[in-house]
Formats: sequence, C-alpha cells, structure tokens
Amino acid sequence: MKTIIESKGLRVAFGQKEVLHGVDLAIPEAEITAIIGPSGCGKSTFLRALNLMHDLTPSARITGEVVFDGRNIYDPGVDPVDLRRRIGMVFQKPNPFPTMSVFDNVAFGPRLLGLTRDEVHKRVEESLKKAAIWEETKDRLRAPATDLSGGQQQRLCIARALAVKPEILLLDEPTSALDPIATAKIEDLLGELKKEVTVVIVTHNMQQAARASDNTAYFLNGDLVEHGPTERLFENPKDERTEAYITGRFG
Amino acid sequence: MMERTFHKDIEDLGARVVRMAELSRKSVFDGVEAFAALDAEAARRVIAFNQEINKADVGIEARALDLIALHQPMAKDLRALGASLKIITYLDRIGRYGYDIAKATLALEGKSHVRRLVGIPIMRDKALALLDKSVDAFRGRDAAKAREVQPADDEVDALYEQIFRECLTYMIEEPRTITQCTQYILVARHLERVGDNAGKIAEKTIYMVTGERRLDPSVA
Repeated sequence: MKTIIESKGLRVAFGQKEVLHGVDLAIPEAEITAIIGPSGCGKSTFLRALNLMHDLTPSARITGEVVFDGRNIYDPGVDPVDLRRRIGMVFQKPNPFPTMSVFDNVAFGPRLLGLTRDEVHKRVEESLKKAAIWEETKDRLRAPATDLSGGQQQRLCIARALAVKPEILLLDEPTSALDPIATAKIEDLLGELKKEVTVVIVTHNMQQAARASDNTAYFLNGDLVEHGPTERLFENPKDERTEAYITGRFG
Repeated sequence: MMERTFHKDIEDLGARVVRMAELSRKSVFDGVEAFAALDAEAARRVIAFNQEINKADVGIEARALDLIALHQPMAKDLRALGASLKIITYLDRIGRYGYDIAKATLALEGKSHVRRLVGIPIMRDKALALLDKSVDAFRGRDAAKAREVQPADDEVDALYEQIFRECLTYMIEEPRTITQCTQYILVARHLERVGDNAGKIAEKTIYMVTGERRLDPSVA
C-alpha cells in the first residue's frame, strides 16, 4: 500500500488557540480515507491543511509537514495554485459558480490550464460522466448551474474538481446538505472514483464512513486517536475513546 | 458517560438471552430426569415446554434485528447483538436436545432400565455446568471465564466415549438390552452436543468481549 500524502507532526493554530496538536497520518493511494470525530475535533482543519487552505486565514500558524510528491507542501517554493489543481476540494454546501452554466462550471479549470476548445469539450463530458451526472445534464449544459437540484449541484462540483485531473480529492462533509438518495449517489460515485483518484472525506455521519471508506481516522480534541481499516475500526476499535464515540457513549 | 436508551435496550436483550438459557437448561435437566425415571408424563411436559424456548428464540431474534435496523450499532454494541443472535441458536439447539432426550424416554415406554442410570446424569450435570459457566461469562462479559469452557468440554466428550463403550459391552453380552442401550448412546450423544454448544456460546462470548474470532478447535 503506497502512501500518496502524509502529515508529520502537523500542528495548526489560529491565533493563540492550537486546534491540531501534531498529527501523523499517512493517506494510502487509490483508496478512500474517512476522517470522523465530534464537532471541533480538528477534522476539517486537517483536511484543509492538505491543500493549503489555511493560507487564506491570516491568523493561521502551521508547523510540521505535509509531504506530497516528495516534498513538504509548506515549503516556500510550492505553488499553491498548482498544488490545488493536484489536490482538489469539494465543500459541504454545493458551490457552483452561480453566474455560470453547467458547462462553464466544469470548463473553468480546463480553460485556465490552456486546453483547446475541443479538449475542453472532451474534458467536460468526461468529468460529468465520472461524476455520474452526465445523463442528467447532457441536454441542459447551457442552463445555469443553479437550476440543478442540491444533489446534482454537488455532483457538478465533483465534476468541476475532477476536470483538472487531480491526484487527490478532498471532500468536507459533502453530503450533509443532501437527502439520502442524493447521498447514496455520491457514496457510490466515490467507490468508482477511487480507481483514479485518492479520496479523503470528512464526515460526521459514521454510517457513511463505515459504508463508503477503506480506512477511517478518528480525531478527538485536535489529536488523531486511531486510524486503520474501516471494518476493523468499526467492529473492534483498539482505543476506548474511539469505542465510546462510535457506540454513542461519548460526551 | 452518557447512557442512551439504546444501550439499555442492548442490556435488556442480554437479560432475555440469559433467561432463554435458563429455559434451555431446564429442558435438558428435566429431560434427563424423565429419562432416568422413565416417566412418560414428565417427558411429554418437556416436549411441550420446548415451545417456550422456540418463542424466546424467535422473539430475541426479532428484537435484535430491530435494534440493528433502528440504531446501526457499532463496535461492542454490534458485537453484542451479533453474538446474541448466534447464542440463541445454540440455546435453541440445547433446548432441543432436552426434547430429544424426552423423546428417548417415550421410545422406552413400558420398559425398564438395564440397570440404574449413573453415567448419564453425571454427564448431564457436567454439560450443564459448562452451559452455566458460558452463560455466566456472557452475563458478566467475562472472556477469561469463557476461556475455561472449552478445555472442560473434553471431560464431557470422554464421558460420552465411556458410555458408548459400556453400552457396546452390554449389547454384546445380552442382545435383549439393545433397545435400551441404543437410547443410552443417543442420549449420551445429545448431552455431548449440549457441551459442544456450551463451548460455542463461550466462543461467541469471547468474540463479544474482545472482538477476537477463533475457529472451532473441534474441527481443526
């Protein structure tokens, strides 16, 4: 099992408050890793640290390393735009570009990369198919993206992220605003996607982590408590704090 | 630590499993009593009593599946429900051996024993002691106690061998004892299976407590 990205002693603080206290976590390539934990445990902070999202927060202070492709992404020479192309992100609420059509939402990245018109068309179709939303949108590609349902918008956002061919896809509670049917579609989609892209998903839905992931990491109060194969972690956790959380004896 | 009603529900389910074990125990105990006394009336009561065990089996299974469907349990909760579902099957079988022993009593209706039964009641007590130990371990979530069951089952197996050989000797010496001795061998075999199922309950208890899954050593 090959590691694609790995945090080493990763600490993140906002102002005086440290929210991640030195996390070592290796993410296996071409698998789905779920990150679970109660609110405020640092799981989203961890996810965002994997593609330099905290750069946008002035008070954020980050120490330790995130090693991707042989180098620490926090080294000064790393181009954040290029890194975010290689490590894509999908957020909790679907956030298609509101003034753009379905097509233009997905074409946005490929156009920035300088692809030709034909290549862009090909890439958009391919991405919409991979995100399992092609059938629903192929006849309305020029419609505003905001005309789509919430579940469709989220799959559109996944298509948009896939359009620049990332190596890792980070998803921050991607189904928490969706109904169970739309959620099931996204979970099925993740299983397909992992053939070509490593997936890291933050979720507060434990059943989702159990259903959809290969590995699960449990965070608590800014620490990584336990991580391992999903089935093992949910059937027989090693740490009693994990046990307490996943059986609902927490708090 | 917060206790949810769900966890109370799991405890209640465990208590129902323990009560079912008492029914299964009674079936085997009374079955052998009826057999030893060749008391057909008592045997018929044991046969009818097995309905209670079956009801418990069906009711506990339904409840366990409801809890799984409603709460999607994880970790030790999931293991407790999974273990309970298996254990009630073993308990149902144990009850059924009491039923089969009662049937053996009816097969000997109008006959008398070859001699006073000694080995079979001893074997019953040893097999039921294993059941008691397994159920105690289950109730107390005590893996160490559960681990004591399997080795002790060898003793029950040895008693079965002994009764089997003894019956063969009788049958060779006196063919008129064949009807009785055949039933003795069957009854001893049922009791040997009671011990085996007690061992399986202990295995599931170990799994429930530790998450450790072991292969059945008797088929290794």
